[in-house]
Amino acid sequence: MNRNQTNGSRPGSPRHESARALSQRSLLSLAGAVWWIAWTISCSGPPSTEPAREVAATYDGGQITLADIEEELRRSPASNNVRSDNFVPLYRQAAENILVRRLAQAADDTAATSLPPDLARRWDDARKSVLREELLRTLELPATLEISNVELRAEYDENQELFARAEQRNVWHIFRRAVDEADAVQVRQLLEEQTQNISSPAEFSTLARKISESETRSLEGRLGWIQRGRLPSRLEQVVFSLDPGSTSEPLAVPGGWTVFFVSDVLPAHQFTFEDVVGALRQRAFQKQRRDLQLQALGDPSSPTDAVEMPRKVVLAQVMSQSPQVLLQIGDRRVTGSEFAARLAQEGPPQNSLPPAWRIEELYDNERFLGLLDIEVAQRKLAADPVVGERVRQSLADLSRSLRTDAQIVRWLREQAATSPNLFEFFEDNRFLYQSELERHLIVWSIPLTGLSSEAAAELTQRVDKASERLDSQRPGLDQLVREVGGSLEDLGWVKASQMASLAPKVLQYVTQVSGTGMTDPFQLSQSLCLVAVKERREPSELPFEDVEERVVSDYLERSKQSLYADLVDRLTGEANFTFFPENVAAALAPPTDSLLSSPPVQNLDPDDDSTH
Amino acid sequence: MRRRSVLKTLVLATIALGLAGCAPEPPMNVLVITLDTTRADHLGPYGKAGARTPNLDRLAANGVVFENCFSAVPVTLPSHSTIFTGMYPLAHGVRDNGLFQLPASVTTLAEILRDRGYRTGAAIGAFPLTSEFGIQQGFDFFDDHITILQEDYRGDIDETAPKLFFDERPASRVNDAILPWLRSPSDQPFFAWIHYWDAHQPFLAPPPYNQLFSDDPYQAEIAFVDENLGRILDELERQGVADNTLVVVTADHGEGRGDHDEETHSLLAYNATLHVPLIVHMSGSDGSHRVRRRVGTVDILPTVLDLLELPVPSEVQGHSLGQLIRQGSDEPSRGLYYSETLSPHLSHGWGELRVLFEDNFKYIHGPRPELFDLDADPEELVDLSLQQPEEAARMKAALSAFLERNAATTSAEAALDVDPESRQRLIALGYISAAGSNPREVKESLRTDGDPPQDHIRSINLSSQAKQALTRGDYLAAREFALQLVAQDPKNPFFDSILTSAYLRLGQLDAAAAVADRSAQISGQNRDVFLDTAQELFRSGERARAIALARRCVEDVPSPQGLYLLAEMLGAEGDSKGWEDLLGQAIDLDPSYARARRSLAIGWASAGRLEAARPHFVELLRLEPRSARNHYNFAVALQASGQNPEAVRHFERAIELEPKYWAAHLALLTTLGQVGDQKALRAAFERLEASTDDPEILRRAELLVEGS
Repeated sequence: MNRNQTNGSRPGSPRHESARALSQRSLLSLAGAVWWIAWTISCSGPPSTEPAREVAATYDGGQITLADIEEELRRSPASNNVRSDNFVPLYRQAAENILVRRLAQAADDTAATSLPPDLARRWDDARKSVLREELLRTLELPATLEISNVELRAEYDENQELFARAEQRNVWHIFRRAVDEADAVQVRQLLEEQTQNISSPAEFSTLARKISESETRSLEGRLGWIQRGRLPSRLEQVVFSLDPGSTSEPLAVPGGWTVFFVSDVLPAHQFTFEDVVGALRQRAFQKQRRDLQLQALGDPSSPTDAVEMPRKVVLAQVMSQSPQVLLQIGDRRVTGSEFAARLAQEGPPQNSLPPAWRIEELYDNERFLGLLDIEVAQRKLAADPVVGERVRQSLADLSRSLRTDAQIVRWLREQAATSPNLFEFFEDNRFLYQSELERHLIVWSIPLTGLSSEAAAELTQRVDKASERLDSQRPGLDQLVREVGGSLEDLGWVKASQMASLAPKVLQYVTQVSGTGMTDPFQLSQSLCLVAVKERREPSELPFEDVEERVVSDYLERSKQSLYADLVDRLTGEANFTFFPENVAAALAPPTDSLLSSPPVQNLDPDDDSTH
Repeated sequence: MRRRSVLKTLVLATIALGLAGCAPEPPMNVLVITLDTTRADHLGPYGKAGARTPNLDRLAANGVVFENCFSAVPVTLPSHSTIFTGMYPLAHGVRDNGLFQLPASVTTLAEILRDRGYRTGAAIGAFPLTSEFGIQQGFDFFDDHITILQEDYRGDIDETAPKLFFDERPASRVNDAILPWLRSPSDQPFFAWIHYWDAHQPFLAPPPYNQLFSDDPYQAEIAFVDENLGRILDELERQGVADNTLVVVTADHGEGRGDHDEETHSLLAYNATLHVPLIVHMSGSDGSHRVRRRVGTVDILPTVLDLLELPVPSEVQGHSLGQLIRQGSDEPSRGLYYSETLSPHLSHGWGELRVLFEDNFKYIHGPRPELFDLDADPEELVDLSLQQPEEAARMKAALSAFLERNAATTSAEAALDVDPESRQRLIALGYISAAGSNPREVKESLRTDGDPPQDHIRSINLSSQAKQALTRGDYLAAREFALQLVAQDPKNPFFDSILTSAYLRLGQLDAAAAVADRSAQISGQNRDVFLDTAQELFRSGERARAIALARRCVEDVPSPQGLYLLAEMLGAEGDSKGWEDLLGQAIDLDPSYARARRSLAIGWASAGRLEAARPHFVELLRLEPRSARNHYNFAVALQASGQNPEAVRHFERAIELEPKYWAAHLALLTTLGQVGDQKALRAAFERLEASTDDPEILRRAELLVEGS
């Protein structure tokens, strides 16, 4: 055995640290004895055998070559840090990772456990994707798709209004309640006096913090950047007529008076054809390619049980994040809220396509994939031995890596669940294990259909006044119904995590009620609504037994690196892992070869941006 | 995580124990908790209605609350440097984040206590306080493993993890780091510093706080921090050391939250960002009480030392508050305190602000001085500098005298040569900027040059919108915001850089180039985007314009990347002298810049000058030992000089590193054919055959095998 080889523990791990400490103490006080022991072992041990040059490490039943490590490093961002002066620990770490993975593979093969549901879904998605690719591979399509600027220009001209960005204004406000006429006079006067010399957002926000009775007080009165359509038309007219740095007159609003301040204005802007031509071309290419592919497949139509919606409905349902199924083709099924979530996941548009087009694009693509999945099933593509083998090959690595990773996580989870530190972790983080905030909600609503805007405003004012007098308990709400009409719907206890399933506007109003009480009246679809928070259950700490699973998961997440270091320590010890740094050093040593004179050298490989 | 070696710790502990044997027994443990970006007026003990800070409340209920504590600087690193040295920034030299490092010559609280036999440990929450910036000095245990949230279990950065503003970790993770150290058994007293970053943007408090404060995420973060602070206080109770631990809670600075238009902090010097909490809890003090007297974070170090009955170093500028704590006395005195923010100047090239508090007045010196009467106008809304010019002049003179008395600057010593990665990160965050000044040239005088930072605060808010739009890929919105910014301040190179980036990403090269052409100033910030523009111009065929722009960039702010780019352009134009000179300059500027070396190595080798190419090839293999391209190029040169066995070795290595490097495979076959090693040739061919089914590659490989 080579004397330079090193055994066992991982740098940074407790085991490694204690081993280091031990060796250092030994050096201080027991140097002679240690030397003697080492010498004795080296003399009495088995005869040494030099590992082959390409072997970086050995363990019971296998070896790890330099090529294995290179492959491992190609997958790891750590490889970017490899320099001549630091490679040994990085190569060692890579070798340890390989060992863990190989042992995990072996354990997984033995246990033959099934993939966890999330990984199984990922695998199934990948399988479908490979099968679709196989289907499309067989199609004969034109080599290049032609889209002329003239066509794109025509599309732009036809939809020019969609490429306009509306004016945006940075708006702030102060609201003061007024309970009766006399109060209204005083409030109006107060707002007039206080705001007359204000010219900067700093002054306005300071004042808002002092006197505003709106929920936006904690945000110094800031409403943020808004465009037309966000405020009632009367208020919008005022806000969009203000110069930057100016304050509006006090305006009567339901329940009181408000003043607006505009700090900045981003003028409306029409994007030019040149601005958007790239995005238009990309969209046209995708559409044309999809159409040609479907054509080549014989224009398959949706099955009879498919669910498809007209474009306008899709747009409205996605915007309102509706739970309604908007598309179902085969087992591909997407609701309005899922579409919205995907849009959100994609983030704001990276191009200038109008939102409606983005939704349309997403919808068409989902439909396209659904049709392809059906074609794959009808043609029994997966059963074809050649295709089947290709799919198996394509997915072999993914399947292997998903299973191996799942096995490692299982090991880590076992360690987490049995860790002596688990309960301590729970105690340290008790605040994470609380029951959710719950609100008992009752919705009052009255239809507005058929009412003029004046009548609707008058009704809103009546409701607002009534809601100030009445409490949010049932007798108060019943009284509201008696006085104004409408009906009540008791939603019962709603957890904070369930609030997201309410309409965004309801959510916005309810979360502004800090304790119990009623929201301001607001319009939702064709109704005037008001939500009463009848009771609240504040979060409270839960016992360990009720949350043990979560605690283990959190502890695993928070301690994954130290748990992994422990796992590496255990496995390298059990498998008699031995690392050969000198072989790695030999491979990475700077060259000693010298260059002799030669004619000009051909076929060199410069950087991509080099002019050679 | 950085830990000193066990050996060193043992040795230090032995020395410290020896010292402790001679000196009086240290009386108690010390725990300093710094809450980043926390305004005093947003905490329960300071009267914030609805704040959820039960742990600060209980600490305050049994401790001493300083109602008027002011930070010396509203920036994280310099402020912490003041807290831990008892010196103002003009003495310890750290004036801004990222550009400075606390000099080793300065003595910190951790160093003093470690030398007195304390074990010292710290865990911090974000990038500005990582050990590279010097604040770790004196700590035996210093945990700044802040990227842990972005890492997988192996420690590799997970590219899919959400990217935050700064690298940071939440308070719960900071506790995870410090608690094991705090729990480790020891006979020594401890000094622990815990830094919670959470109240800094972005505000991402976990449940239930995001639910409880859904309308105020800043307050949610404060509640989350308080909960975690409670865990630490509970731990002291559990260990039975709470009564023997001096606890100090403070903040490095506050947060603008829109006051005076400032959303965040660092650019202005109003009390929204300077007024910070200071709560001291020590058993044996004269009960709980509140102190109205004006104090500063500069007083924390001398106070701690005084309470521990340790001598205060002579260079310390703060004053002990021990008497106020022990005896519960309060004085009406509102002594002289100094604050500053040089960030507007250092990071943006605007004017700097220096502040003097004295009695009821606060004077802010800068390009547009301001004077406030804090008694009558605590919100600092009415500038009295024109109404009371005599008072303003008196305060200015007092400030000037203060600077003269205390100007023992170590700024030049503290100024850091920021590595490009950190610099990019700071630029991306807007912490440092285009026209930023040289940190080595800080002058301790009352300057009035530069734009008043107050005038730029709105454009800073707008530029933050533009940067966000750019980051999320909404380039049209970014362009619109940037056009507004440029209209407001046409000379600002930072705004030019945003606009140019937006144009480039929209593919509007002409517009991007026009910005570069009219931009009067090329600085560290717009240089890179202008170089990108030059490169795009060159690719599009506008070579003369591209070369002129790249030359401007290189002449104004030389960088290895710029020199390389210009060299390659000149090379393509046939100017080999220019090519050689510029690449030489790039290597002089950064000897580890591999591209320039590769270009030179390949250039010389192509010209048959292997003796000139050799040192670059060798250095490249040292710098990038895992670059398949480097091994391949070196092998090609070896082969040309007739050293086939060595060439084979490097070709093999290139293939090992990059199995799909077809050029290396084919070159290896050629070389093995020349050597006549049929067995190795067959093996190499079979390896290639197994790794590709590309008919063209296989055809060429077969020809090579047959030809040999």
